[in-house]
Amino acid sequence: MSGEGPAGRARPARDPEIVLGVETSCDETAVAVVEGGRTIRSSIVSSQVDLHARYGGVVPEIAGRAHLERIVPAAREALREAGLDDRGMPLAASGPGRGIGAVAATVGPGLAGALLVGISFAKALALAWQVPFVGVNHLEGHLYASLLEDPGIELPAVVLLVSGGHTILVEMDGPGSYEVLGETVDDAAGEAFDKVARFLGLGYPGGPAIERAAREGDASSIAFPRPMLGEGLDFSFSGLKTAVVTYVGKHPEVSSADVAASFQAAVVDVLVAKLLDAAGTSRARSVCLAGGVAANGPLREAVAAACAAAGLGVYLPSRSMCTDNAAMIASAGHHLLGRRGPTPMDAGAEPSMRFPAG
Amino acid sequence: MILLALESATVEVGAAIAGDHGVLSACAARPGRRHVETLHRAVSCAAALASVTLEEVGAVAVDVGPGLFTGIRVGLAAAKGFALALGVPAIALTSLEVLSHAARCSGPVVVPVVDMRRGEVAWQLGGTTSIGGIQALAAALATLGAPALLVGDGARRHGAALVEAVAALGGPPPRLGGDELGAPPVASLADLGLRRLEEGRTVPAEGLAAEYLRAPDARINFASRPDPAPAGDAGGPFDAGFGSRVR
Repeated sequence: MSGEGPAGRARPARDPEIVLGVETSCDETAVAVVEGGRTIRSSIVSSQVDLHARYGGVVPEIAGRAHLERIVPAAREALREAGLDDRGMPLAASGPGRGIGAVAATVGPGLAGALLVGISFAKALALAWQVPFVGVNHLEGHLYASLLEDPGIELPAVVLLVSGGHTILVEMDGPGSYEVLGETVDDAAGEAFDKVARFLGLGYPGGPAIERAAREGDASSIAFPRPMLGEGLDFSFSGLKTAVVTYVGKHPEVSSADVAASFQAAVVDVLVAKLLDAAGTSRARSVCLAGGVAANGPLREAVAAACAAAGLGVYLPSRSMCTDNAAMIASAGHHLLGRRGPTPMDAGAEPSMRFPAG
Repeated sequence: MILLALESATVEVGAAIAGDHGVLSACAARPGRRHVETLHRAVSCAAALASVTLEEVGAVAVDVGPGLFTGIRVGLAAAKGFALALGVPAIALTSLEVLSHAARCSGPVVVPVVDMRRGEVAWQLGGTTSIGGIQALAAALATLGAPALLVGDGARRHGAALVEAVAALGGPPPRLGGDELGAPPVASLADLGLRRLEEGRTVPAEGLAAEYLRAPDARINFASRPDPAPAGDAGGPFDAGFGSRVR
């Protein structure tokens, strides 16, 4: 890959340690450059929240169109910030001195029409630059988000991955070695936040809207159910959403703030209790949060307090690493490339991809 | 100058390589809905057959639609990726003009017809692009002085019904193109791309835009709901100069 330039100077080489990641599974168009699976050189996230807000949820066709419009500006910005030119090679003045040596993209789970944009774009970059393409499971990517910020996490760790699309408890022994301990049997926790926020007229996305409203409310004012508490490590949130609707129907005078606070407390109680149960019944030495709902303040506080009481190490990623981003995809891609090699060019989108076994 | 052409807007997925003297290679398949699984392999195949490396490519041409929304996006995302990563300009061609170009020697009046699903087709007649039902296209064809040659997947799917409808209106019954013109041929896309390149009609990677001809469903449904009206929402792509809509 390295060679002599016309003037006899060594041309900078491409380095498989430098990975460009692409993430377009839902409503964030994201591109990042990560070195060695750990050092973030750039991480650009173009959020479509404004486009979907008026519909109270992500509209797949709108998301697909927006990804296509935003992918090139996001990629250019990620390359520049990493000190690279459009060909993924170092700019003269700055940069790591080596070029991008692999391209990773989320292949699932997610919206088919959204995933296809990132996959097709990433494969083209890989072919044009003559470097490997690596397809990444979005859920596995979220696990790498924790490792990216704190490579010193003590393993094995129990990770609670909570987002608009997923609620999963995973035991992670190391990169590529996971066991799913529990998951939601119906709605994801973030989905419940979105639906309750929409029902209460608090806006979209529901997580931040509920958290905001709840600050003015009394979390103990309404005793909403704690679904499946003490019944193993799976979750259920659709009944809780129904309980909110039923309660407000019977008590139309209730304040939205009290409902939001009480609903949020019910979700947090269940998430924290099951996370601690999982940590207690496994060999875990630490606990991690991942996914968009992990940005929720009361959840973070409750997890931190419970882990401190139980003598468990706890890792709470920054907000930008909780929500969808491409740095975690590049990081996961780096590990996957080393473990499994490149993904063939005939790979497609896998909208209902499961958490990888291993 | 080496041109890379990408076709993924309708039922056919393929790539072609063209040089200064014309088309060098073309690879295409009709893989069902497996556009993203097929397109990039077609690129490698076309480059290998033409004995060209992608580093030599100086421009990327792509079919921007109308056609299948996801197919269009697969083609455009790839074209944007190639144009950005190779540092070369892009050329946008519509499925309708590529079909017309492919059939230009086959008859005096060629009408490309692309299947838009839901009983609608898109077509191009007299330089105007339209979208509408079979009856609307039949009415347009019935006003012609001579039988038109219909090509594209819309013609393949609705050909018999169109012939019947035009005859019922007393117009000259159209002729139907063969299955080889059932989708924009990628070699024709490359040939037309070369002409555009000579004319300097290129755009940067971010300038490539899809021609969906139809607003997203949510937007249509939202707009047709009595309230609340979405603030600041344009009525749809037809405000953007896409030609007439015929019902």
